[in-house]
Amino acid sequence: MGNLGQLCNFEYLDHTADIMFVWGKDLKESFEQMALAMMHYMVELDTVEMDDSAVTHEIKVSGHDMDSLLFAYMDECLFIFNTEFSIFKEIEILSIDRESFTIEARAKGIELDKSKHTTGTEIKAITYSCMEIKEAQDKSEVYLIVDI
Amino acid sequence: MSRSYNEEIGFIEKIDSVRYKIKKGFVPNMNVDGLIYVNDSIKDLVFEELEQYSTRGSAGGFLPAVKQIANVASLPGIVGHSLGMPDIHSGYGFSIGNVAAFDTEDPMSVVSPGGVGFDINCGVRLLRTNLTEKDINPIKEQLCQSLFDHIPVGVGSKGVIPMNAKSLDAALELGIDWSLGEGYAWVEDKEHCEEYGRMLNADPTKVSDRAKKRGLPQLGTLGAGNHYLEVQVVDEIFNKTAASKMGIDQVGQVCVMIHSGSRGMGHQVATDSLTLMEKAMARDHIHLNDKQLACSRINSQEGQDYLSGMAAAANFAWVNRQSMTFLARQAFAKAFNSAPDDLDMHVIYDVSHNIAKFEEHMVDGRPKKLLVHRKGATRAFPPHHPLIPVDYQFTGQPVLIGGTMGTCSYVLTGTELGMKETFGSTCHGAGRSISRNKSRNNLSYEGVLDSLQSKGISIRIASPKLIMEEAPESYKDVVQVIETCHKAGISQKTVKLRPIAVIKG
Repeated sequence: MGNLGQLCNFEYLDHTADIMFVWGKDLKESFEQMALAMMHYMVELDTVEMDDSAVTHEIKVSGHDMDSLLFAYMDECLFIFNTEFSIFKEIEILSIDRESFTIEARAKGIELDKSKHTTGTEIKAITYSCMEIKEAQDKSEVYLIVDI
Repeated sequence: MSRSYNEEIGFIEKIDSVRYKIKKGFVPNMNVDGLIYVNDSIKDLVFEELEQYSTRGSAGGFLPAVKQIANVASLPGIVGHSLGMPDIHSGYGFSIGNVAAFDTEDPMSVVSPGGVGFDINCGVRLLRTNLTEKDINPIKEQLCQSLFDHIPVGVGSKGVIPMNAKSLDAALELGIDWSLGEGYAWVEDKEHCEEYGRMLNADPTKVSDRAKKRGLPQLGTLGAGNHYLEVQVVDEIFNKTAASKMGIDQVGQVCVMIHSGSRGMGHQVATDSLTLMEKAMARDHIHLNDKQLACSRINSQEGQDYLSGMAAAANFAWVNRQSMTFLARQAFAKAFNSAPDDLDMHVIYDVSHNIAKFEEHMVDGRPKKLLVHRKGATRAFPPHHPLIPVDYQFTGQPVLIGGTMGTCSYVLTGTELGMKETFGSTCHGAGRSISRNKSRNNLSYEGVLDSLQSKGISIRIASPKLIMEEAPESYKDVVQVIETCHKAGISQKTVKLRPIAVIKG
């Protein structure tokens, strides 16, 4: 596999639907990985080079529990891709507020250029199906199914 | 609840060679029985899913299609059976291939976005031509490339039909009438669409700005995944009279099939309403077997708003398929140096296989207005039904079934028996049998391409991964799906089409 940049802790699992499984040392890292794993599904990230043309996107989303927060965060990333055609190869979660269920993040995206980038599968929507957020002392794992 | 596989199949009763009843008790609170249509050669896929579930448990909440059919049978207001077509597989809340009808006279009855699917009014359109395979062969590669160049496909593609926020609202409200006004449609096109290409209850103000923003750049784009445009030739005619009504009169005749939906617009309408309904269910204390079956009473604000937004997204899908019809006509016109109407490029029909509609059906001997959800299932109305076009009054509604890349597609017609048994519904396609990930890992790019080439199929595809993901090996055998419906009598085979050129995302 080529250079995927920040994306490193992920797996696409066997299932008639498409489960994305990511992990990290904490929730922040696994949420970052999840957004990039989705981007990699749509556009192969090893064909995307970060350069001066990268645009910074400030993301702020809220939910009413952790599941709906993850849903809102992923839906926002998908929305930005679909409306601004920006592929995130780097994303940093600045804060996860567990009281107000709010995430603030900053992503760096490159505009899709089909002459350079290899496209994959279109993602229609984020789902709650099989959604799982696991947290332990020094590890966090997240499962999510997207509708293709 | 944990039962052994043997205990589970005790609730499933074989009625005949293609019908299985799922009896009450299979899951809690079932209001009606489930009924699924599968023949011996495809039944294993359905039962294996259940066996895995009962031995391994529901990994991460995964439910087999038969459990999902039964959970839908537990929704308030459902009548008849919760029906599973032969191409059923597990989906979000409702399985794909599920038909469920709700009595509008019952105040408890619900509407569920999961019963429609994320791709609202995903459907299939078939155009005919007066060309034959012999006319195409010398320029097949050029034609294939030209279609690929004319029609935006794949992840992140942008439409070429000029669109702004104002015209988008008009398109959402008017459906194919918008295309007619703008010159992208022929008057005859409208006549040959379900609902005449426009749902009258569409309300663009019930569509969020977010959904409109996602839809705006995507009008007139094919999409990716299982969507395609294919040049097909008539391979076999089963019913000469019905075929000739559709303008199909010889083996080898060239047709064009378009499979696409409402793009990001519909996906976002579905996502938005699921989020709203999930909140409303907590408020209204609606408890369901499965959280994914998020629904609202038909007469609630959320229910009505969803139906108006869904109708607007459905209109968008017709405009989308119409825009690609326009582009395909242009590509053919250039390739054959001839006007599209001289090539007789008429729309045979246009079906919706992800939709909810108000329809009148007989229930227990009396007519009732029902809200029929078809998710991965196609309306198949019988001859003489008032809602089908005059051209098809004697044949029954044409039903368009897309195969998979490299396999055949079919035109079926609706039957009286289907009207009685399945609310006038039949299958929609082949139905996935293995995951995209498994396809990518187990199939080779060259292998799939070689096999297509040996069948004489030209292909243009935007994403290399899709070659494996969409290979016929990833799907159920469409022939057995069609045979099951034919044997059951819920639809009849009319024409079989074989692909010669495939354009995909």
